[in-house]
Amino acid sequence: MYGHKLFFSLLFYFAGIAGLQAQADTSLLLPTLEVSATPLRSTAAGERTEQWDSAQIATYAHSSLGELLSRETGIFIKNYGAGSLATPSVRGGSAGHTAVVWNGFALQSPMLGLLDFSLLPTHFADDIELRYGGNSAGWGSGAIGGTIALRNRPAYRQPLSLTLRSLIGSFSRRDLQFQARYGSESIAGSTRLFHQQADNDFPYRIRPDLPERRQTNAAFRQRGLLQEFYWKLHPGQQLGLQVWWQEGDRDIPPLTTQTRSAASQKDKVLRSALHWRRNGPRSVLQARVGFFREYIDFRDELTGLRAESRFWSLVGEVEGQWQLTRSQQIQAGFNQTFTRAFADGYAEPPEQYQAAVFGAFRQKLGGWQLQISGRQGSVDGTLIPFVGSLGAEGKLLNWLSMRAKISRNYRLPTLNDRYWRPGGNPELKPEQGWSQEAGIQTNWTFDKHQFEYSITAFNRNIQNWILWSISGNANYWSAQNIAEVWSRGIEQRIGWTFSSGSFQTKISGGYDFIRSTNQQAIESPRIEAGSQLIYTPEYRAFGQLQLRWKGLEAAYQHSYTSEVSSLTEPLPGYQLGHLRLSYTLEGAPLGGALFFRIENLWDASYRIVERRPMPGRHYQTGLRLKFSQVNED
Amino acid sequence: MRVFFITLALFFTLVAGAQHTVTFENFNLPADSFLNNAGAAGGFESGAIFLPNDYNPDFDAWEGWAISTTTDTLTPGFTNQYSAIAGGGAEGSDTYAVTFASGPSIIQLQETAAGSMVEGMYITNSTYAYYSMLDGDAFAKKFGGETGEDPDFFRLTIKKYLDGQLSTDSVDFYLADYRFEDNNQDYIVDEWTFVDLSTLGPVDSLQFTLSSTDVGQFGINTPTYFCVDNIRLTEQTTSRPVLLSEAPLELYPNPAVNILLVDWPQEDAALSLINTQGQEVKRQLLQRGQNEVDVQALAPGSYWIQVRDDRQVWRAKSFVKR
Repeated sequence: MYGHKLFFSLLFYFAGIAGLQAQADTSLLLPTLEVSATPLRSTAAGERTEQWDSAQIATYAHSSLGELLSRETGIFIKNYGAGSLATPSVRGGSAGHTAVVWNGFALQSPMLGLLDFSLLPTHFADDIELRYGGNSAGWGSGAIGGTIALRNRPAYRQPLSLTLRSLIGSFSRRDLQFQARYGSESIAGSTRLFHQQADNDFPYRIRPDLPERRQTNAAFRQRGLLQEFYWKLHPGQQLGLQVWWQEGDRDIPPLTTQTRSAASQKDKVLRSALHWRRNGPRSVLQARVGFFREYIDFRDELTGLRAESRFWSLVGEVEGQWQLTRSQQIQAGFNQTFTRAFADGYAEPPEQYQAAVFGAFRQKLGGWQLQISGRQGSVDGTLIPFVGSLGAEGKLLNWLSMRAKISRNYRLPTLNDRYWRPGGNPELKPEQGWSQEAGIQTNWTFDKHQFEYSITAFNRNIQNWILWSISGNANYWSAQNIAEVWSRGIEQRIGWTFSSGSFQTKISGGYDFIRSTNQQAIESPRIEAGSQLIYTPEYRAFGQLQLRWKGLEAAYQHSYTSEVSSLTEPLPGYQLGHLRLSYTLEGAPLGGALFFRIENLWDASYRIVERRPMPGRHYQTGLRLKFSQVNED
Repeated sequence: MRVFFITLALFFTLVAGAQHTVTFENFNLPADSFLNNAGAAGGFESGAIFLPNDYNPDFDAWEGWAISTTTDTLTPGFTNQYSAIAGGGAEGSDTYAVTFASGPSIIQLQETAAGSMVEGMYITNSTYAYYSMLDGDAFAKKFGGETGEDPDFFRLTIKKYLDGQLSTDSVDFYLADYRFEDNNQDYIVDEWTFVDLSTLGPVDSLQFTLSSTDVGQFGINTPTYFCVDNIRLTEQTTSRPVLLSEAPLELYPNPAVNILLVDWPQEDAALSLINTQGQEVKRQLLQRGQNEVDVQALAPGSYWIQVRDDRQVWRAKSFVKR
């Protein structure tokens, strides 16, 4: 039990910061440039996907990726509070079982294996795609529960536009964002800047009969820059440069079982990437290089504890895609990633070298698409298990389509799992296992009505799941491949859209049932065989009603999350509602929008994480101004 | 509850034998320092007392007992893990012992003192555990919980070993008690408090077990630390016919990795390996001549070897498993 609390507290706080980085994993065809052929890797057959385009993202411009996903999907976001750590659980997986890929680079921290979604500003992406299920063959380590792709797109042939967004809200929330986009025939660029802050000193009650308290030491501040440049060197050849700089500073509020806190954490992130792409008549070639650096500085003024950690990674990747025949495509690539990490918990700064070759073959057969993919990776020269997938999708009837996929997936042990002292275990094996899923989807259109419905069932078994545990005669916590987790569930989505003239109504919703159980009893931490993982709700339901008339829009969102277990006690389920009203006036050269939001409309008292209060009803209002240069022609 | 177990002032009479007080001052520690590594000895000796210690140089981590003169009564958290909340040792002294253990802690009486009476000792909270209970931290709750009404407690249960047997009798001492109807009576011990252990009678060693109402998936959330000083012993010559003598055995290699060889010059006897928590982790027959003891499966650390036959119990040296 040597110092395990320190370890866990560091782990916890570091997680609170976002480790991002590029793992050896990888990705594919970059969406950074205009694409003439659909990249194989970003459209694996047989998966369920959800996408948000720039217009949809715009309604979440002041939100983090965690907030977007918790409102628009069945994903459970374990959110420690506004501005605090937020990690996803997709299909009952752990926080490390979601791969986040930015223009082809995996962003999970190699030290923690996860990414803090509260540090991912949605407005830094031009589109966001969520693919459910395992896809390690395409995206490598961690693509087990799902993969989230954040993409930027060059704006060639677009006149200069300048957008300014601001928001003010309860608890001294202030946001300011600026974006400039410009694109000629052969050059495009975009500059995005943001600053946001909040005191976050919201009131809450432990119980209705007890006096109101106010959250303390909960302020946060974030600012960042995303700069992109793209050049068409040649009609079929493009070069892109992206630099993402971001820094965050947040106080870490006390738990409800804590008198006070004076802890804080700073995060600094630099992600830079160079992309090259060549489109041939029947092929696409891409190469990319990324350099990623992150730094976390945790301090606690009360205990005098200070813990700094940082890493840098260098990633290089080439990949190509060839059209063999009209109905056959093949794709292959190679990725190398070198990482070095620094923390007091390491004896020496660990280094990790990863390499992987990956490929896919896609065949069209009538209305069906089949895809087979594979990846062989190595870590520090040792081969890791081969992973692959087989997927198919197609139409059964004109209004009914179906998809199915089977895949083998893995997650590498993190650097902390391998090298943290005490307890790190360099001999850990990757977590790995098989996933299967199948689903059907229907679409009908009657007159001005459009309906859609889909149902998907999945099953996944993961072996060698890594837990920090005390076992045998050992008297300290160490990382071990001891758990086995069985996840299965059913996901349903329904939608109805009605359009008439300038009036549009949309109702959409989803209902997920997920069982994700430990199959082995473990003594310490105490886990019973067959028990649902902690912080993994069995049910999530969410829905949204949107009414739009000309520039006026009203949207109401509602969600239900069932009870979860936590480290010490069960947390009751809760329902949340949010209302948004906006008025948009599109125009050139000047356009704009005004919005007003009521968050937690019903003033629910709820907790996502035990001992972490969440704010009741609160308000936000904002303004968007857009200047666009008018084309003379 | 408290009054049942604590005698705040000490009144005792000597029945027989000499009285000793173990003060830990023999380490001559400078002010504001600590010893958390007893090296190959596997523990700290002070007078008739042996305090097992398991130090891991790879992690700079320790378990069992440490010796301390730190006086920080203000800094919460793990970084101040060697301080007693009373500030310094008991009865105005400088040096005291602090223990951290995931399981029970053990205090052993040296062989010449084995079987003595432990009249009692001063006990207090560590600063780390004190503030964790008073204010909560990132793991452990503030006692009373978020409403202030939870009937929390942090309890130390003391039992004895005599002739290798763990007693059923015990003495409970509440390091914190929030179970009172009137929350104003809730308390966390912040002074050196004398705990009377004379009811346990003669002992070879004492076992200390902490329990807390703040328990989660990872076991006790409250930091499992407390501090001890000025242990009062009375040698009980009448209570035991035979004091333990050292077993006439040779053991090697020491430290051992896989096999420990034990040369035994006498008739068959039983050999027990006892870990620093006082638990018997292995028992096997010891025959005249060379015996092999398989220690491969044992966790690294120091162990005691105890040997007994029909007539007597011997006490032996410790050995270290690597």
